[in-house]
Amino acid sequence: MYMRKAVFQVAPVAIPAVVLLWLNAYICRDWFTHPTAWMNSLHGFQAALAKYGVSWSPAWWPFWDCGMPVEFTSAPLVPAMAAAIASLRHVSPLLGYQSVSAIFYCAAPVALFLLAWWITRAPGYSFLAGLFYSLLSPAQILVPDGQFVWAGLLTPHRFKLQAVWDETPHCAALTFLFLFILFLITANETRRPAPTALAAISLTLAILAWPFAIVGAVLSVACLATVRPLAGWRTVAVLFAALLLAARFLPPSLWYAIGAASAAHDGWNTGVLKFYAAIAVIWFTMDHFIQRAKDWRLPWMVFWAVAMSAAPLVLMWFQRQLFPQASRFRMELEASIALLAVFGLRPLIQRLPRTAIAVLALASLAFALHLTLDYRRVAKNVLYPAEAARTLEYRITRRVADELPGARVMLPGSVSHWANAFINIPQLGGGEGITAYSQTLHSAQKSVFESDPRASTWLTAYGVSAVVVPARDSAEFWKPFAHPEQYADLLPELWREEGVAVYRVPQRSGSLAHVVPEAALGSADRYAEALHSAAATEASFHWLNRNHAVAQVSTLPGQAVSLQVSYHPGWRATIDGRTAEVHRDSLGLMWLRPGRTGPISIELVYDGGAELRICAWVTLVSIVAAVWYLVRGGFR
Amino acid sequence: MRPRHALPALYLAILVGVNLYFTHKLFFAEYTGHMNSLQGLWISMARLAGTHWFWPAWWPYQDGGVPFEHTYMPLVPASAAVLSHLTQVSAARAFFSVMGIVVTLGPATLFVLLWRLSGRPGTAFVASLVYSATSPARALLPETDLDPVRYWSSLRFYGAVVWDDLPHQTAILILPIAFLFLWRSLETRKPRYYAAAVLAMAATVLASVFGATALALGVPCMLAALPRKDVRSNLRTAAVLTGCAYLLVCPFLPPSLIATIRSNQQHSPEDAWSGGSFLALGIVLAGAALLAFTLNRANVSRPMRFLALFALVASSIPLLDAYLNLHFIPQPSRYTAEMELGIAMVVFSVCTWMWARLPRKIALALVALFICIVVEHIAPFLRFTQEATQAVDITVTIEYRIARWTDEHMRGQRIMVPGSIAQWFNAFSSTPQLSGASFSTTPNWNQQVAMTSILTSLHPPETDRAILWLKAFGIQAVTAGGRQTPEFWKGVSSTKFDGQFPILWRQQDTTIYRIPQRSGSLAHVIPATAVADLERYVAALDDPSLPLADFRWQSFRKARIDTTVGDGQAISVQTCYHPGWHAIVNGRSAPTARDGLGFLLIRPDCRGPCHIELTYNGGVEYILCRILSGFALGGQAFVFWRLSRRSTTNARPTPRRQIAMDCSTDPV
Repeated sequence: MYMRKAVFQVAPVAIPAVVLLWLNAYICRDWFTHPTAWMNSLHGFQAALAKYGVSWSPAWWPFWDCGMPVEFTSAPLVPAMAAAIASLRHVSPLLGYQSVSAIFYCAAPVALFLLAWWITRAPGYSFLAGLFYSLLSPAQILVPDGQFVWAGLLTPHRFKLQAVWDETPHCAALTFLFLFILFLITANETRRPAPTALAAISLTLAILAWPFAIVGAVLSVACLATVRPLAGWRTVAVLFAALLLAARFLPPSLWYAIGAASAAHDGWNTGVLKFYAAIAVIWFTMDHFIQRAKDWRLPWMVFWAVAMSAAPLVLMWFQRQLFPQASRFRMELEASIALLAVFGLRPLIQRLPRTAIAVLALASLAFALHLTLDYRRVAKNVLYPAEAARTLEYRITRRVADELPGARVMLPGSVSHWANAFINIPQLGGGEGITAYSQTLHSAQKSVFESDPRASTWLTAYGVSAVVVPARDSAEFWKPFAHPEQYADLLPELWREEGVAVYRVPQRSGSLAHVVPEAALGSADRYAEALHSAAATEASFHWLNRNHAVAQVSTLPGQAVSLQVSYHPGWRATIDGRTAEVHRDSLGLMWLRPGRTGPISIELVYDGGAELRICAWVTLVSIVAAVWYLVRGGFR
Repeated sequence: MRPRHALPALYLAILVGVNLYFTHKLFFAEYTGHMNSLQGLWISMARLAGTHWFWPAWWPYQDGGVPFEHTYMPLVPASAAVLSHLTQVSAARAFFSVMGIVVTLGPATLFVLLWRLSGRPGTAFVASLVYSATSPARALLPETDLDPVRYWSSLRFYGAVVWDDLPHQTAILILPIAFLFLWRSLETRKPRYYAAAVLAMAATVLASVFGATALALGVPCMLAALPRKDVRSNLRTAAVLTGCAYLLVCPFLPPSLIATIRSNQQHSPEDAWSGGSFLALGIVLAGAALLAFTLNRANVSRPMRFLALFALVASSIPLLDAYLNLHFIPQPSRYTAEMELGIAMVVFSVCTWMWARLPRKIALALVALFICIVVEHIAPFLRFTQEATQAVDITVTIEYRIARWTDEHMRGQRIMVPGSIAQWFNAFSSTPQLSGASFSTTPNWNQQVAMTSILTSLHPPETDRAILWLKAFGIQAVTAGGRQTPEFWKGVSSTKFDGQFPILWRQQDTTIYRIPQRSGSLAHVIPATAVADLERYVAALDDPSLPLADFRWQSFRKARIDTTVGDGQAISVQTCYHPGWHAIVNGRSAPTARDGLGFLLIRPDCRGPCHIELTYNGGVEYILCRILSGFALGGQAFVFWRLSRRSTTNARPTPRRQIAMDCSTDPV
C-alpha cells in the first residue's frame, strides 16, 4: 500500500523527467560514441585541460599565456568531469568532454522541469515547459544570431551552441542554476538547513562550471525577493557560502582577473547606466502592478524573463553591455521564456473545455515528436564522426612541435585552441579571454595580430621562437591576423603549408632565462634590445615538472635574471640554495636579483602562494560546514 | 524675495547658468564664422543703420535699394546697435552678445510661463532643461530618415547660432511671456497685464514675423482652453490687445509689407497657398477640436489644455509638411521652433501628470533614467556648443576679403556678389549690392529674378540674359564662384564671364569681373517707351545718343539728379520704386511711377537741363503707421493708467490658488 502510494506520488514527476531525458538523449546520443572535430570551437581547449584533470594541490599551467596558475585556464567543473569520464570509460579526453556535453544537454531541461514542478506542483505544465525548452529557441526570435526569421524558433539552437560552439560549461552552470533556485525557494519556504546547503552547493557547482553563473543567480534572487518575502540573511549566506565553497578554484584574484578581462573586452561605458535605470523603471512598474497578484509564481516568471532577457536584448538592439558576457545569457533567456510562455498561457488553457485541452496536449506532443525527429536528423549531421588528427590544426601543431621541440610559439585561433589537445606545446597565447591571467600579455598578442610595428619586439620579449600566420584563404577558422602578408617582410619564413606560414622569431637563445641589465626590465623595447645584445650571457632553463624549474646563469654586476614565465606570487626561488625574492617586470614576467656575480643556480618551485593556500583551507572548512549543515538538516 | 519664490528662483538661476555655459563664448566672440547664415545681414543693419530705426529711410545697401522696413524685423539688429552704442563694441560683437542673451534666456521664459501657469516649478524646470539641450523636432522630422538619436542635439541652439533663426528664436524667447500675460489678462482683467501683454506681443512680432504667426496660432488655442461662457468677452479682449500690439509694431510691419511677404511667398510652390492648404488647415482644426474635446472630457486643467492645444497646432505644421507635403502657412518647415516649444509644454504636462500619480519608486527610477541619459549625452552636446560658439579669424574668409577689396577699389558702386558673400558683404563693407537681404520681403521681385539669372547662368544664352540683368541693375562688378570656391553656397563657374568682361580679381575659384557700363550713375535718361522690357531698357542704357545723368545720394532720404532731358524721355533710377519717393524737377513736383522692371521712373516735365531733387519719406502709409504707433503707445499708457485706478473694484476676483491651479484636473 505504501509502495503504491509512493509510486503514485513519484510517477507524475518521474515519467515526464524520464521522457525529457530520453528525448534529449535521443537527439544527442552520438556525443557519447564518437569524436567530432568542430575546430572553431573550444572543445580542444577543454580536452587539453581534461588531459591533466584537476588536482586539489595548486599547479602551474606552463602551456598557455607564458604560463599561469591552472585556476586561470578555465572553470574546473567541466574539464574535471571530462577527465573523470575519460578515465572511467577509457576514452579520449575529447570524448570525455563530449559526454559531459551530452549529460548537461539532457540534464538542463529536466532540471527546469523539476524547478517548474517544484514551485507550481503542476507536472503537466512543467513537462510542457521542459519540452518547450528542449525543442524551441525563442532566443532566435528575440536576439537572432543572424537575420531574423520566424523559423528560427524551430531550430536546435541550444544543441548547436554546445555541439558546434563552446557552451557546455554554460549549460552545466544553467542546470545547477535551476537547482539553486529550486533549493533556495525550498529553503525559504521550509527554513530547513538541508535545502539551504543544497542551494549553496548547487550554486557552487554552477560557478565552478561557469563563473558568470553568479550573475544569473543574483538576478534570480532579485526576482524572488521582488515577488515574495525572502529570508535575507539566509539568501545572502547561500550566495556567500557558494563563493567560499568554490574559493579553492575561484580565488579572489581570479574574480579580479575576470573583471579586468571583461573591462578590456566587453567595453562597458556610462551609456549603460540609462539601461539600468530603464530596467529599474520597468521593474518597479511591473512590481507596482503585480503587487495585486495573489500568487507569486507567475509574477516571478515574468520578472525572471525580464531579468534574463534584458542583457542580451539590450546588447542586440542597443549594443550596450549590461554585464560581462551578456550575449551568452541567451540560454538563460530561453529557459525563462519557456517557463513564462507555458505558465503564462496556463490560465487561458485552464478555461478551455477538457476536450480542447486534450486535443491541444496531443497536438503539442505530436509537434514535439516531429521536432525531435527533425532535430535528430540535424544532430546526425552535426555530430558526424571526425578525426581531429586529420585536420589542418593537427598537422600544423605536429610539425611545429617536431621542428621546434620545446620552443614557445605563437599559434593562431583554432590551431591555438586545439594544439594542447594533441601535443604539449608551450604557447604565447592559448588561454581563454574571459579569465585572462595577464592583460599586458593579451595586449601584446593583439598588437601582433594587428601587425603593429612593435610586433617583433613583443614576440622577442615574450620568448616566442616562431609565429604561425594563416593566410586569408587558409583552412584555419579564425584567421586572427589583420595583415598576414606583412609578416613576410618582417620575419624570416621557416616553412609554409596549406596557406599557413611559420616565421622564425630571431632569438639569441631558446632558453626562457636571460641575464639582462636590471634597467632593461622597465620597458618591452629596452628588454627586447637587451635580449638581442651581444653582451648578454648565456643562461639555461629547464622544466623538471609543471611546478618545478631550474636555471643556470652567469651574471655580472647590475644584471638581473629574467625568466620569460608569467609572474605569480606562488613561485618560490632559491639561488644556490638561498631564498631569493621573485619580482614582476613590466611585461608581467618574473625576474630575480642574483645578489652576486658569476655562475649561479636557480631553483623555482610553484606552490600557489598564500592566497591559494588560504582559499584551499576556506573551501575545505566550507565543505565540512556544508556537509554538516546538510546532514543536520537531513536528520532533523 | 518671497519665500515661495526662492525655489523657482533657484531653478531659474540653474537654467540660466546651464544655458550660459552653452553660450558664454558668444559674449566674447567678434565672429563665429558661420558664413552660411544670414547673420551678416543683421550685423550690417546694426552697423549701418542710423535714423532708420525711427523714421522712414532708404536702405541702398542691399537688394538694389529697398525701404529699410523691407530689410528685416528690427528687434535683433536694433538691440545689437543699441548694445554696440552703449558698450562701444563693434556691431558684430554686440550682435553675438544679443545672440548669447537670446539663446541663454529661451528656456528661462518657458520656465516662467510653465511655472506661473501651473504653480509647479519642479516639473517646469525639468521641461525647460529638456528644452535647453534636446531637439524633439530633429528626432521626429525626417532629415535623411527618422532617427531618435538626433533628439540629443538642440535645433534651437543650432538654428540660432549656426543658421538664420536668431530673430525667430528671439520671437520664441518672448512668446511664452506674451502668452503668460495674455492668459493673465483674460483671466484677471487687470490693466497691468493688458499693458504687459501688449508690449510682449509687440516685441514678439518686432523680433520676427514668425512671432506674429506663432501668436496667431497660440491665441485661438488660449481662447479654446478658457471657459466657453467667457469666449465672447475673451475674444473681444484678445482682439483689442492684439490690435494694440499691432499698432505698436506697424511702422515696421505696415500692411504693404505684409502684402509683399504674402505676394513673394506665392512665387515658391513650397510656400504658396493651394488646394492642399485647405486640407492641411482642416486636419489641424479637426485635430485641435478632437483634442479640445478629449481634454474637456478628461477634465484637464485649463492651462494644460492651452499647452496641449498649442503643442498640437505648432507641431502639426512642420509634421504635415514633412510627411504629407501639406501646408497652410508659408515656410512650414521653419515652425520647428514652435514645435519644440510645444513639445516642451507637452513634456511638462506629462512630467506633472506622472509625478503626481506614479508611485515614488517608479518616479525616482524615471528621474534616474533621465539623469543617466543627460549624463551620457551632455558631453557631445557641450562639445558641439563650444565648437559652434568658438571665435574665428574672419579676415581669412573669402566673404571678408572680397568685401574689403571692393571697399578699397569700388567704393560706392553697386556690385553683385553671390551666396554667403552677399549675406555677409555689408557686415564688412558699405558698398551697395544687388542682393544680400531676405527674399521674402524684397519689394521688387525682378531683383530676385535678376539675382537667380546671374547666379545660375552658365552657358551663352543664359549668360547673355544675365549680362542684361547686370546692366539693367547698374552693376559695376560681378563676382562668380565655381564649385571649389570657399563661398558656402558654391557657384556654377568662376570663369563663365571670361572673355566678356575684364577680370579684376581671381582667387580660390572665385572671380570678380568688371561690368563695362556707359555710366556709373544709378539714374539714366531713357526713351519713355523703353521702360517695359529688359532688352529695350538695356539698349537705351547703352545708347550713346542719350544724355548721361548724374546721380548723387545726399542722405538716406535724399538724392539729386542732374541731367538734360529731351522730348519723350524719362529718367529711370535703378532703385526700387516706392510710393515714398517724391521728385521735384526744377522746383516743381513731378510724378513718379514703377517701371516694367520695378525701378523708380520719373517723368520730368522739362526740356533741357533738369535738376531733380529726390526725397524719400516713406509715403502716407509709413508716416501714418508711425503716427498711429505713437498714438497707440500714448493712448495705451493713458488707458492703462485710467483702468489701473479702477482695477481694484472691477478686476475679477481671482485667488492666487486658482491661478496656480492644479495641473492635471480642473478644480471646477
